[in-house]
Amino acid sequence: MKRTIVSLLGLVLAAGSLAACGGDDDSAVAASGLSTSNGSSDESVPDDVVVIDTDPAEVTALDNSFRPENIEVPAGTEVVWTNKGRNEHNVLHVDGDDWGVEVEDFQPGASYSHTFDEAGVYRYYCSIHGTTDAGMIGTIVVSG
Amino acid sequence: MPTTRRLFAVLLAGALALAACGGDDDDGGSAEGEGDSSDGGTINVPDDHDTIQAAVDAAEPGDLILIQPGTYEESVSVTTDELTIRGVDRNEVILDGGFELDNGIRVTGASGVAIENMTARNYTKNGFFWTGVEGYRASYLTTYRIGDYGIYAFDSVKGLIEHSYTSGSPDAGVYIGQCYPCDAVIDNVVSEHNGLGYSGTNSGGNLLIVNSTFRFNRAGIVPNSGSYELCYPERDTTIVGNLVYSNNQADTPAIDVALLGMGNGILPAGGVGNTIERNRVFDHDLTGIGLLPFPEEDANDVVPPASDDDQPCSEAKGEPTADPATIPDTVVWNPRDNRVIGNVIEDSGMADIGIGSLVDVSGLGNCFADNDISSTAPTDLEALAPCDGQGSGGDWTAGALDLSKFLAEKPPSGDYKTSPVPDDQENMPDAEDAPARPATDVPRDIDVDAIEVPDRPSDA
Repeated sequence: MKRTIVSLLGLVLAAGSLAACGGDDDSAVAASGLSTSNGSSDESVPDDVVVIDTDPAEVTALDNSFRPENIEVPAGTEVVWTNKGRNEHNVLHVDGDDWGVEVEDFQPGASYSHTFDEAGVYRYYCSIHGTTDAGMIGTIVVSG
Repeated sequence: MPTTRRLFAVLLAGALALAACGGDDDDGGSAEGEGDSSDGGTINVPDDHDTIQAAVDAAEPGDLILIQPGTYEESVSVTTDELTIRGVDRNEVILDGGFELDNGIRVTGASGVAIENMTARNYTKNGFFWTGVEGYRASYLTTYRIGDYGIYAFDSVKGLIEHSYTSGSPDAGVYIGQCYPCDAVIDNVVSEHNGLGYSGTNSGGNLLIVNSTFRFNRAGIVPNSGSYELCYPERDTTIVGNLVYSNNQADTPAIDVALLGMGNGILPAGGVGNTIERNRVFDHDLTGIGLLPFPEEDANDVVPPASDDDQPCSEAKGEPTADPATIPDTVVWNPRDNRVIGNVIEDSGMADIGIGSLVDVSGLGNCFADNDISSTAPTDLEALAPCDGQGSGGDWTAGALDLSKFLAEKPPSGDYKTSPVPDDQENMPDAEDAPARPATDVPRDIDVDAIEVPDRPSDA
């Protein structure tokens, strides 16, 4: 699996060159050809993103963090989360979309997958060990 | 500083009120304690707000949330810095999860939050839980019948857990994990009837466990390493002046690691560079102090080199893991460079002090000195590996620890929902009137050198 760390700086520079004088938080998203998952314009790409070019893309749920925490995948990629911790976790979408997995189906050793067909920024969290924006959280950036 | 913040908040609130187009439901604005200087930053529950959560949501940094006796069936989430959340009576202010709610009080990313003088029971996950914070304090807390951990500090630094009691957790009564340096102290805690009295995965660095009692668990104090959390391995925990006894309890709730560790007092499982000194340890079926490996199956990474021992957790988190193809089926975390000195240990089934691994333990750098003991495995361990000078060069295979005993089948886990209900516990002094004291002054200094081996309890 090829993994590349992409810095926020790189994204911001790219955004700046493409979006010219935009200057708001959505510049990186706009530059990447992405839209936010809920159609709103109040989400931004996180500080660092691991680009994964394999399908499926794998995310590990440790105690208590997702690794990689933030990934970027092409549209149509299946993302697989595996609970390799010793604690129970869940994967819940921040914006309440129809994907995610509850504790009962995500015990240690279990996996869950979802295919992201549309470009966007999809934020998620474990409700036991985090809130929607702190603690055990993660982001899927789906490029078009 | 709180006054400035409050003024800003009042001005902001006024501006919002003037600019509002629609008018929202009042959200805590009716609380007499909020924005009302007469209470001096104290928010009362239930007088000002019916629930602890509503009080927390209305609070500003520096506020004291003072909770009157009652049973509060809620799971409280805290994201505001520097709150002091206090019950007026430790035994009568009770958070009850009804075996349906997950955490009693969870503090996420909010620094300096102190929780004092209350009880959490019947939660499916954790009683009192800090994660991702700098500055936390747990004082005069009681937890029982909790599904994972009683008092749980994860990925958090600068903490103090004191004067607290935990029982009936299948994982650990008290847990500090994924931090280096942790800069934390556990002082004057009683932990019993848990799977593990204390567990600390991948934690250490100015982490002190002192003056506390760990008894009637499956295993007592268990610092441990593994790649299922970040910042491995566990290292540099100081364990001094504790009473550790009768950790053979067969009816406790217990996760698999607690079953594996059953019958041991202090058990650094794959721990590195720990100091275990001047503890009184007795009545254990296997070892009083056992230095053992932790074999991790399906690991996420390999064991980092010893040269990384000083790497802070903040840096280690960003390190890439090994290529999965190179990770063995079982990664073995060995106990190395631990110092076991001046402990008083008796009534151990296999050995008062034992060390064993899948590798040659003579090269692991552990040392043993001045312990009051009657047996070791291997035989004459203090001569083989003294803390000062060269070892005797004797036979490390003589009387070697029989690891198969540790793998023997153990009584299955009990149900945490039916674990014992504790007696009333000591209240915090002056709980009704003491001012707010956020966790901005932790940990306090501990004079470790002054701590003596505790006396054996008369009833033990």
